[in-house]
Amino acid sequence: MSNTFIENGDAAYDEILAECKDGILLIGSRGGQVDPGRGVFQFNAEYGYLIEGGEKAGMVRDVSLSGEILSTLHNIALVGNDRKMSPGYCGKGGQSVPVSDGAPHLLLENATIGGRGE
Amino acid sequence: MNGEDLIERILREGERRADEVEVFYARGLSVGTEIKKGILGNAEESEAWNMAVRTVRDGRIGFSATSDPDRWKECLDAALASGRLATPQQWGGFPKPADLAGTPSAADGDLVVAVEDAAKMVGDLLAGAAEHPVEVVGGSADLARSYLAVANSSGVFYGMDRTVAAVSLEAIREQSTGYEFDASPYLADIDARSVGERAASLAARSLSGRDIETGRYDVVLSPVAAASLLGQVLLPALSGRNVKAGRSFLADKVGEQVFDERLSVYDDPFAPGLGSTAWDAEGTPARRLVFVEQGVLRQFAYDLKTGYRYGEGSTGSAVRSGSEGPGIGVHNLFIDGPRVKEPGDDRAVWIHDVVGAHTANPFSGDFSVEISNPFWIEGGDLTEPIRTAMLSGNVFEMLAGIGGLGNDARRVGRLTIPSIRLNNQQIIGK
Repeated sequence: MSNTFIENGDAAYDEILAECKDGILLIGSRGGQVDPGRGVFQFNAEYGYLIEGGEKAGMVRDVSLSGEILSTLHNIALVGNDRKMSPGYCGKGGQSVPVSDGAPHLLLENATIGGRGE
Repeated sequence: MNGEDLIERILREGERRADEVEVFYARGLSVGTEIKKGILGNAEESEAWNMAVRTVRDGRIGFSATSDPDRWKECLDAALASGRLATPQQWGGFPKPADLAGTPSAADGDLVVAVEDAAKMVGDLLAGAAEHPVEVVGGSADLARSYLAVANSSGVFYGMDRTVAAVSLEAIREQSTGYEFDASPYLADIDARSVGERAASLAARSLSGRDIETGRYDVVLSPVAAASLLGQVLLPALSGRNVKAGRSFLADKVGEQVFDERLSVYDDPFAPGLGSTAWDAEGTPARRLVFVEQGVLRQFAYDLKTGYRYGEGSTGSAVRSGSEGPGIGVHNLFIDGPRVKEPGDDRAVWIHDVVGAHTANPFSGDFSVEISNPFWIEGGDLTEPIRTAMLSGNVFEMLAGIGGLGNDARRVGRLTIPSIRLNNQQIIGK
């Protein structure tokens, strides 16, 4: 797929934080991996912040998100209006083509976050 | 022109134009077969030829590589040109000829690079997988033989043969997957049928896993899972380059008890393995290096450049991948220590593999990964599959206090590692 993205919704970034109330904000990706057969993914965020009372609070380190792709997509509660695209390459067997992907901020309910906290 | 004549010619020509020259040379023949839709779908034979040239002039190191023997002059020109742009290094010269300390176990005289033999391995993989009710979605069998040589203008000229036999198989049952693999220099080491059977068994037995509650559990990392995490975190921490740049958790800890006293970590370049060799990728004699002895940190790994820069001396730890220049690595790394009969005697979560090990933080050791094919293990038996969950923790803290090492060491790439029991680890489930 050449340009794969989640289309904008109508929620502003601040509304997403407010609606989340208490949660974790994940920014950027340090890489991830998918097991397509099981439909399971894992990715590690570049930056993570706690969201407390609907506002961005202290930073947390080395947080990952994982889950089943289809149920994760079912658990999107709000879709932001600030879609960003990022370029990259996709290929196999020594051939690659330019592709891009992107999404706005998304509010996910009941996501599985792995970190060192209890 | 054969390889040796060409190397000589490049050395003589390079010497006229630089203080020193080094040639790394590899040629090989391989066959690769792939399983597609449950049958042998694709087979290819390929011949490769690669040469990498380094030149040194006034401490400026130049590098270039080519896969076309006819373009060796351009390759040398490019190395010299890149050297003109390089920053001068502390440099004490390429190694001189030396007595090699051991004999590698890297080549199997009986291994024939023939598509018929690879196809037979595919047949064995599929026969093994057929023992369980699964669909085979992928797999491969590869055979390769290569000749490697390193030569320099100080008189070093070492050459060696290397062989590889490798198989893998991936199976699925509904939404449950299983993947297994093996690789060795020796064809007789590879039991393709067993690899196929184990991949299929993982897929078949992982079906209908039960949820696990978030909490702290005793876990057993299989050799595959342990190699994934340690390869990402422990290996970079042993590199002298990372140590000196302040990027290693282990820097400044030589002589300290950094890990459990039951853990030793050493590189044995003469042991049979995919990295087995008597000399490293820069022509320095390879030697057995003990990094961690019964939990006490002893030393780090250096190549020539980093060794000269910090006055440490090369430990014979230079490795190359593909046609890249040399870097610091390991030849055959062993994670070793006294074994317990079964690392899972008390109930624990057994983890076959992890998803996303490459996102572990190599500096801090922190990781948070998805686990693959987890089971409850009791009395050494996998009893019941567990549904998807995450494991998080810190590799260095884990190794500081392990529950025990299993009796099941296996080779995973350049690592030879047993299963590791770890008590009281964080699992994120439901």
